[in-house]
Formats: sequence, structure tokens, C-alpha cells
Amino acid sequence: MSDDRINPAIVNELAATVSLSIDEPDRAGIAALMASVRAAVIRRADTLPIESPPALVFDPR
Amino acid sequence: MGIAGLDVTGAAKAILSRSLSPIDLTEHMLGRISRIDPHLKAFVEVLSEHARASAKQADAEMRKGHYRGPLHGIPVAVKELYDIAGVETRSGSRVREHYAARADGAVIRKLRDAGAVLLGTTTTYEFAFGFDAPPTRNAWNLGHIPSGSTGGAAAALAARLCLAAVGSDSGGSIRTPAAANGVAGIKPTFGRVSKAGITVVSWSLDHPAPMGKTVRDLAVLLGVMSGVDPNDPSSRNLPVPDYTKALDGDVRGFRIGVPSNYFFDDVQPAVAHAVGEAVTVLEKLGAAIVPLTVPSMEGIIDSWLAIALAEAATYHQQSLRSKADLYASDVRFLLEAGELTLATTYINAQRVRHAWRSSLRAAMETVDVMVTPTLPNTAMKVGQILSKIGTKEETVFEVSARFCAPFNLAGFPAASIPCGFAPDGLPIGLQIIGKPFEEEAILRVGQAFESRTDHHLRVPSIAGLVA
Repeated sequence: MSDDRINPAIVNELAATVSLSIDEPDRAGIAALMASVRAAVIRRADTLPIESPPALVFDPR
Repeated sequence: MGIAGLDVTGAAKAILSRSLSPIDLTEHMLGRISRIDPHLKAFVEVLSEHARASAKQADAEMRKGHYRGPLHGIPVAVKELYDIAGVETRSGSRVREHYAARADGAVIRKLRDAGAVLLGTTTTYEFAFGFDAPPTRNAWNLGHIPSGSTGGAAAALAARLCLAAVGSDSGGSIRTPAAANGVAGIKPTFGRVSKAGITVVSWSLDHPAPMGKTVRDLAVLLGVMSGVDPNDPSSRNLPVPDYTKALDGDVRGFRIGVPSNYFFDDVQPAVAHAVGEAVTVLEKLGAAIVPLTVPSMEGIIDSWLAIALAEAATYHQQSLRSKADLYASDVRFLLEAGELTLATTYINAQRVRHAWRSSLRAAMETVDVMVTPTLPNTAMKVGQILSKIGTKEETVFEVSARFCAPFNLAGFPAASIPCGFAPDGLPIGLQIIGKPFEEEAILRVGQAFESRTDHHLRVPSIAGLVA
């Protein structure tokens, strides 16, 4: 949480671990999007009590 | 405008009184499509023979005294995201080239059971994962986009190429094109309408939804589309009311919340003016206007985006590896970002969602509905990448999501109805948000507003190209 930036070079390495290849021109944009979304979500989530649950639905049918 | 000017309710009356046959109505619409749609490019495929056969069947049934209801014999357009048995529905993508469903999806089945005539499929942004529907143009100005991934249906409806339409809304894709094209659309509560047989954008954000020329038409369509479905576990087993019964034009004593934060920030002056005028109209109708502070919006759009990205990437996981080159570059970009979204980010976004839904419910406790602008601006120009309002610059994606996506995240019902026009002639939409499964309140307010205004009666000049 201390550093919101993601190194674009890491993006392709990360993608390779899930059998994806990301075009070089997209890596910086994806890194920036991932970082900004993650940071904004965490900023808001950090204001919630830790026991505050997710809105996941499990339907046992 | 003659026949083309009829709404569903008016056409149904004419059909019932035998002054108009479903066959003539369908032929009229097919003729208009052939003459106007080359300019608008709203339809992917016009199901001419299919529509003629359905219209003929409707006519024969009615001659035998079997009337199915207000959609019987009514030509309806369908966003190219819905499964229609035997019809190619590519969801706007080369990835699904030649895909044809074997069976109708739940909503299509209900429309058929109600006797609707499926006129054709309308454009969507690829897999509805965007806020435009190229190559379709805005019905009010061909130099502008129709906005929203249901833009094809909205443009077709505004140009009077169909009487109603069905589409979907995962972050505003019914409401933003409705606003941008001067028609009405309602995203019901999550779980009110089955999603079975509709291409997934995001399982937990997708809402099948109707569009119409009037609020009364929305009430008719929503009544037909709603209900529990064993093929959609998220659909809720609740009674479906007759929504038209809510439309008595009376909002006296109704409490209408108007946010004093977020929803009027960085809004085009014409939009702020039109929505302000709409609030005055509602007040004159006897509603109590209640200033409302909306709970903190920090992280709400990002939480919606995190969920949309991760769920969409899951749906496309296989084809993103086998057919990556067939995706539009921007959709591929978003799906790849979704693949790399951390599980903790997704879970945190769902935690934010849970808290947002609870705080929104609490904020709306003292009101019946809340009203906001649907969009901060009017439709953007074709090819325009950034919207600039004051000093705020946003992409079409951001500007379209800003006021609509929070209610996909919450699952609350929300509609857009026409409430005015900017000086450049482009329409402006009023968003009306209700509480879960209280769509009647939205429809009541919308119809009362329509009864005192004529914005919904105005038609774009392209609609007048042929009678």
C-alpha cells in the first residue's frame, strides 16, 4: 500500500504467469490502470471496519 | 408523424380497435428502416422475414379473438447481445463471428409469448464493454455518438424505426443512450429481470432493461420482462406488479431527494439548468423536494470498475488466449487489465459495494426517489476522446459511468427520461433512482413529469425523412 505504482515491465511478467502476452505499447497503460484502481479501492476499503463483509452472493441451489 | 409517431400504448390501442394491423405496422417500420437506417446505422441485422411472419401470426391470432396484450403485434428492436434462436448475435465482436443461439434467451421468450414482433438486432459496443456503439450515430445529430452500448437501440427508437427496444445496462448502457437520444429507459433492480441468454459483461453488474418513447411504454415492457427464472440464480422470486397501475400522474406528497453533493459537480450548464427545471416541475406537481447528502463517493467508480474488469476477464478468459487478435484493441486492453486485477482488489471492491449499498439505502430512507442528471454532458462528437467540462477532462468511459455506474454497483433501479435540450439541440436526460424493487415509484414520477412536459414528444429531424 505504500507505493501505488506498478512497473510496466512487471506487467508482462505477471501476464506470462497466466499464459497471456500483453503488447508492449499497452503495458504502461495497463500498469497505470491497475495501480490507480487498486489504490482507489483500497483507500475506500481502508475506511471500513475490517469485519465489513464483501457483497458476494452464494446460492446453494 | 402518423404511424411512426405512435408509442406502444397508442399502437396497441389502434391494433385492438382494428384501425391498424400488425402487418401494416411492421411493414411501415421495415420501410422506415430501409430508408433511414443507412444514415443512422443502428441495425446490425433487420429480421424482415422473421418480423413479417410474426406480424402475420399476430394478425391471425387477433382475428380469432386471441389477444396477448399490449405488446401483441408491436415491433421491438433487440440489442445484439440477446440470444435469439437461429439468429446470428455476435455481441458486436469478431470473436463471436457466426454465433447463433439454439434457443431464445429468457427475455426474448417472454417478448415472443407477449406477441412482440422482433424487428432486428441493434448495434452494441464490442461485448457491451464500452460506452459507444459504433458505427451508429446519434439520431439528433449525425456528428455525435449515440452514447452507451445500447446506442443502436436508442438511436433506432429516437428515429422512430421501432416502437420499443430491449438492451442491457452494466454501468449506464441503457440510461446514457436514452439520455443522449431523447428517449426513456429503465434499469430495474438487480434480480428483477432474468439475464439468462444474454452475453455476460459482468455477472453481478448486468441488468437487462427496456427502452421506450414514453414511461408508460417502459411500464408495459418491464411488466413483460420481469420475473424469476430458474436459469438465472440471481433473479428474485417476487411478485411482478402491474407497473401501469402506478401511472396516475399523482406525485402529491411524494418525497424526491435531490443530492447536494457529487451529482451536480462538473456538469454542463445546460444539463444543470434542465435538471433544475425538471425538479421545479415535480415540485409544482406537489412533490416535496428534499435536499440529500449522498454518502461518500470516494472509490465507488473504481470499485465498480474493478468488479467489471475482473468479471469480464473471467468470462473472456478462454477466448482472450485463443482469439486475442479478434478483439478491438481497447476491449482487449480492459480484459487484460481485468486478468491482472488482484483477488484482494476484487474482494475489497465487493466490500466497498456492500457498504455503499447500505449507506445509499440509509440516505434514501426518507425519500421515495432521488433525481440527478443522467449524464454530466450531452452526447460527445464522433471521434472525440476527451470530454472537458470546466477544468475536468474525462474519457467517454469515465464521463458516462460517473452518474450511472454507482447504481449498478448498488443494484438499485434507475431510469432516464428526457428532460430538455441543450442550445445545440442535443437531448438531456433526468435520472430517477428508486429503492430496490420499487420501480413503480420511478415510473410514477417519470410519467407525472411527462404529463406536464413535451420533451418526450419531440422527434429528431432524421425521423421526418419519410412519413
